Amino acid sequence: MASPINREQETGRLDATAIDAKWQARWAADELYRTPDESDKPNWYSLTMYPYPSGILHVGHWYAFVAPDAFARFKRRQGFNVLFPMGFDAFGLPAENAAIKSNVHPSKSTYQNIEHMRKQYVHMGASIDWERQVITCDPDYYHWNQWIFLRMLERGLAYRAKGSVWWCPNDQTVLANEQVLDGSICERCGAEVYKRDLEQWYFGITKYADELIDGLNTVDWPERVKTMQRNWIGRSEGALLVFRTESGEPMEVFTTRPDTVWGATFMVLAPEHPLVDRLTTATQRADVDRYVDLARRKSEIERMSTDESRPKSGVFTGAYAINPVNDERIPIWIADYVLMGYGTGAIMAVPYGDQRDFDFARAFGLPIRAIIEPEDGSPVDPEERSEAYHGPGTMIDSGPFTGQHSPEVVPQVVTWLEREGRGRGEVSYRLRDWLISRQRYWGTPFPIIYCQDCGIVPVPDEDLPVRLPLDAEFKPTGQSPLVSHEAFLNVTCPKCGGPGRRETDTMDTFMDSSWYWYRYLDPHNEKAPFDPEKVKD
Amino acid sequence: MLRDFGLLEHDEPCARLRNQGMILSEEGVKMSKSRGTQVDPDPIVAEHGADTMRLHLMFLGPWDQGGPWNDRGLNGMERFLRRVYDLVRLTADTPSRDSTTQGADAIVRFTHRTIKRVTTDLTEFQFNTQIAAMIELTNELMRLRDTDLVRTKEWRFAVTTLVSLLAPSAPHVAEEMWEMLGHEYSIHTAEWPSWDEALTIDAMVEIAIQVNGKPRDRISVPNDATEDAVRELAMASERVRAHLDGRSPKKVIYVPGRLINIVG
Repeated sequence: MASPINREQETGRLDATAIDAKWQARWAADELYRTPDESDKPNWYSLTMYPYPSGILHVGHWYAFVAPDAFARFKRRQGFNVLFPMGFDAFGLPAENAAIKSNVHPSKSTYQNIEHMRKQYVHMGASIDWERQVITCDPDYYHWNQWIFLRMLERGLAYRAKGSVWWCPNDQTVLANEQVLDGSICERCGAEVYKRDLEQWYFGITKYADELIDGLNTVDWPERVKTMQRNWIGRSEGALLVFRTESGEPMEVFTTRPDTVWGATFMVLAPEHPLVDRLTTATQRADVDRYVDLARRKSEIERMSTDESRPKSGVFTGAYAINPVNDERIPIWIADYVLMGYGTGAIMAVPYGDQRDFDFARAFGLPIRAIIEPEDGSPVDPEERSEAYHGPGTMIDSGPFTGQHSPEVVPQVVTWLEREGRGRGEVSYRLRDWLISRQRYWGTPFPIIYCQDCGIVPVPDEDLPVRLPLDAEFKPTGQSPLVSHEAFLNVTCPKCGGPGRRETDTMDTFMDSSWYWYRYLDPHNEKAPFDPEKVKD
Repeated sequence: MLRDFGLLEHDEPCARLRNQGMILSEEGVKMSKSRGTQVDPDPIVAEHGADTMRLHLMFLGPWDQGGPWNDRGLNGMERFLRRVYDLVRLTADTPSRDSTTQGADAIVRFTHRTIKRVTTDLTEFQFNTQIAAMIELTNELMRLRDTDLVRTKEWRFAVTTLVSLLAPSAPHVAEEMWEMLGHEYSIHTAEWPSWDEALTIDAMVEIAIQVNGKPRDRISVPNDATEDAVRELAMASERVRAHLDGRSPKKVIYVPGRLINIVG
């Protein structure tokens, strides 16, 4: 075998592999890259996202990793106590799907992949503290997913609700909005997905929407990422108005332009709005049912399309509402361009000021009333207009606000509405609460037991972790594989001792990814997700 | 949420975020398994070593934008590492002593400039330009490797610093070279070099001398020389005197640090 010196002399090239091996062995033996919890030096935490253990690190992994590794090495020599950890995002669909293809249990393939990829990181010259490695499919890790879930349940931040959800027939699971592309394509497998009603677990993340937006002002992030976040949360300020039907049913409407309510000449409900059924008159029933059924098949993207070639579609319910500012009787329609997910699922249509409402009114012969004098030279008279007017102007025919200038007058309108008891200021969000349930096997079980007498019962802290059985049948049959696992399912109710059944859904792996960087700081803690003292500074 | 449970004190965990760009195929489009343009790192590392791969990935474009993979670039980085290694071996084999060899001061300044550039670039996540700076220092040292400069302490300082700066990017070869230079293990725990701002500027600067707008000579002057001093030096040049042919200058145009034009 050629010695390193010979090879060098022969080829004129460095024997880099010998050099790599020599120093990797030395660094490992010396544990050169261990990070102590305590240090005299100032701390510096440098986090690179942890990968799915797909089996091999590809060049994209290298690209994402080597620069941060160089940076971590640099910071250490500048005198910082650097934490540069790594772990594996081991649960989830990719591991389960790959396991199904190769007929090897996800647990076995996952740990094999992790071991291989860990070696590959070492061969990169990674300066990682492997003592702090986090593997999310370890019961020692997901124990704390379950613990956090229970704390959220206690505070009402985790709840069960029926929802219309996206269903992927290929993966046999529910998907969150964020995992559906182009309106109706599964992000993971590309199959066409459709909507279904199911009882699911949700996290009330919208409670934190304002804090998250405000927090963006405090961090040094690329501007385009901040913009993406702001748009995703989609906070808008406006007002909530209550329109009553002739029969007295209240309908809440959210609008960012409460100054235009004097121009509301009809109302439009989303096809899924709960009042549709009650309001629809007998004569309109057949048409409405047919329309609602068609609308449910379409994706949100299609429904929101402003493509002019797409015909405006809608149907009259037969019922009327009363405009709260002028007591006028206005018809209630249903149209698919109104989405249930945004605002209240009901809008006041102001055809003079909104293009879609304008097109709709023209298509169905509904009245258009002028409420602003245009400042761009276009005609005031709606008969003479070919499009809605969005701009500023002096208000006309607008009750006590006639003669004032819009949109500066909006805050005063809100005050007036509140004083008159006809509405109030309100904030709305694009962000929805996070659907956390998955009907798959390879994930964190929910620590929940269903008892006939006691209902939904949380598993006591001392009984955690609820372990995922490693002998479950993981081929997709249309149901969660845990549903048929009797040993896992059957359990006594912690409250009354009667017979109970465990929750068979597992958590979306975003649960794992939402706090793992704290676990690196205290990876062997058996009493808590991490010691708060270790996180400070 | 964890803050509200009493586990954390901060609001936002991530004070600073940086995103990487994407590595593309040699044609400049996304790598594709079906087109066979995916690059598998393992055989490359087996052939070239990890550090060459690391350097190539950091050098092929700004980190937040990415860039196309290219084999020529990979080989270029391997040759760069080889040149540094050869310089280190030369230095290790050559005893150094004090001397005031010409060029010693210049190489010290070049090195301080490099320390500043690499440090600033690494801080700002400009991984490609920090490598460019080290390549420039390497090329300068290569240019001078057959001169007496190699026997000086200043030379040793330059080479040692180069290895030190290279370590985050090429950790294995840098550790090897650090050992060859006789330093204590490990380069990766050694203090990061600092630079002297005053030494980052050149002591001397080259001035072009023109007579009636035509370039006739070049001189090297201290960079804080006054216009009068530069003019005096220019007038002392034989070539300038020849082109003036006995006439006295009517006008002198001086661009500090760049040129002096004698009109006459």
